Amino acid sequence: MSETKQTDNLVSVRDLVVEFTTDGSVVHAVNGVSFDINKGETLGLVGETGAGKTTIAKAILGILPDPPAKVRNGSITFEGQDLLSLPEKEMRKVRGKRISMIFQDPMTALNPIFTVGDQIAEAILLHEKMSKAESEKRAVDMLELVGIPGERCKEYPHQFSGGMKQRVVIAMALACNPELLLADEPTTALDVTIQAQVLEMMANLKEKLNTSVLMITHDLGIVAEMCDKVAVIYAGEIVEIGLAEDIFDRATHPYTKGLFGSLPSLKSHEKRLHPITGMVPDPTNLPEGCKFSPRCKYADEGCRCQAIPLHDLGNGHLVRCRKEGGEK
Amino acid sequence: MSRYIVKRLLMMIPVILGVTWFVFTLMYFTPGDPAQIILGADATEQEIQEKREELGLNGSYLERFGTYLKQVFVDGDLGTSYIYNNSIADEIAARFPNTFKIAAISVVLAVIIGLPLGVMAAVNQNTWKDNGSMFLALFGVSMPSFWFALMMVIVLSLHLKLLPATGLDSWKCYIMPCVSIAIGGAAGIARQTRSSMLEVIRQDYITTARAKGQTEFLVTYKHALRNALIPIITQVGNMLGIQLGGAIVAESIFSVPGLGTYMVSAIKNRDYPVVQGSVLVVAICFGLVMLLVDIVFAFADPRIRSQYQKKKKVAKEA
Repeated sequence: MSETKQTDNLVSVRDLVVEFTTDGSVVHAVNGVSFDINKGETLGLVGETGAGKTTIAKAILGILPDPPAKVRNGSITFEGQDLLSLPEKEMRKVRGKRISMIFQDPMTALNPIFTVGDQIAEAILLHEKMSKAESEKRAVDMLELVGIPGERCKEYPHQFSGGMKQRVVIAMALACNPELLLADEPTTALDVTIQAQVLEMMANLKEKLNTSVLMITHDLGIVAEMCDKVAVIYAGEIVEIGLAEDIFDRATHPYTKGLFGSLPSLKSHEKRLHPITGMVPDPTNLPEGCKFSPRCKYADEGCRCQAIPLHDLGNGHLVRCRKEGGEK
Repeated sequence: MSRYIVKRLLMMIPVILGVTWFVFTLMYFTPGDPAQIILGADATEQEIQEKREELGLNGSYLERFGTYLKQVFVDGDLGTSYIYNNSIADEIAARFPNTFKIAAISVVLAVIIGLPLGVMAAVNQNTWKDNGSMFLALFGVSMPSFWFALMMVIVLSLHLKLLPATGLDSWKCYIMPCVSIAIGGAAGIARQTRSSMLEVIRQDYITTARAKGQTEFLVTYKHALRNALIPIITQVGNMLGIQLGGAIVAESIFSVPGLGTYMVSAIKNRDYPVVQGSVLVVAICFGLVMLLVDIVFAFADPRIRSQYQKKKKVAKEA
């Protein structure tokens, strides 16, 4: 990494470990995740359901439900401040203002008994020095920014369609011009046509406000379209991370390859999909050594007995595989 | 909304007629002769027959029911008490304020105690705060109100001589009846609040509110509690409705001249018109409270509000 990039660093997560304790058993949700996001950059966090993607985002924002969740180890540095050791009162000033989050399910992310205008204005009122009237005006502006007529600010969430609710959620997240946006599967709950609109809107807004984005998704199409860097996460660990073009062109980890392989190709007229065989390991009882080894066709004894470190392939492309995807 | 209220008020008419018929029939079949009770054990057969004639007890079932309906709904007269020979409407008008005051104070007290207790339990689920307050609540709903009433009389009136044990002469007299009623109500509200809050605080929009940087206090009381209110409002409405019918136990123990004591003594004395009249008043009160509950729902939840508005729009178009 060059010197100039270092100064552009907005958030850096180091060795993050998050565990959930339920009824005596410990769920290892996130196991030593490290990554950086620079200013204006979009990092895609890709992985299956339950891989720990949302947990990472919630840990950054400090809104993990405690109990049962507990950050066991690691640091999250945001513009030089360690968020994990920040007192709750200071953290509240970061939340919604400097870091904000778009939630996965727009149907449930809005409070049903407040008008959408009030819900957007609430974030503004909390963080900006504004009167109530000014914050309401700003809320109307935000609604119009995401393509909803401003006069609908007096309406309640149940009067909006799913796509519009997601726009409201995005307007709420962007209301205070955050430096970092955590987008947790922002389009999963939407129709494909609406997806495209929402993504385009997010790309435009990102350009306008120079916001960094952590884009959580399991849709590789979205990654290709939106992301500068990609981290592939499996069982709470990053198995491969690098620039988007490196990951797409030179996917190395068997799991990453499997993800791409499971996409249907329109060119080759194949009749069957190629899923990754097997199941995600039980997070209360993770395999020793490489966590993907039970499903990996290249794995041998050496993979199963020791923890596998990230291996540098150059240009910031790291992979957690001692065989570099079966090539060695 | 006003159209809805009028509709609900009209719907109360068949309910009130039904209640009138039901109570009349029940009293008709109840054994015991009012004439005998009024005149005492040593009255002659002829005296009793004359008294029965005078009270109109000798007509057929339909005749007597018809007379009663006409008297109540046409002449607007609830009748005269067999025993005290005074106007039932006047007596209820004199007693109702006492019952109303006790009901209102105990409901307010129950909400003030029960609501924060339930919220605290839910927010601190599975901690000592939760277990402690839920133990208290379980105790409160399990122990009958007369037990609390008697304990308070023993301690506060008999031993400490702080509060008067009977009557309603000063504000001090309201304390024990209201508290004895409020304990059970508060316990019920606390339990309802806890379970309703537990459902709401797991919702995504609560996380959204936290993610905005909202304080935990406002997340709990503004975002969560307002969404948890519907079942709590129902519970509070039920409590108010029941208490307006007279807290029979508390009124009896503390000799409060309210609706409850009036009804109990009327039932004991076979004072048919009094029983019928007061049950009618209680039924109307309950109906009005339930209407109030539904109106409060509309204020608490915009989704319910828009249902009424939609109905109104459809009705207008038709």
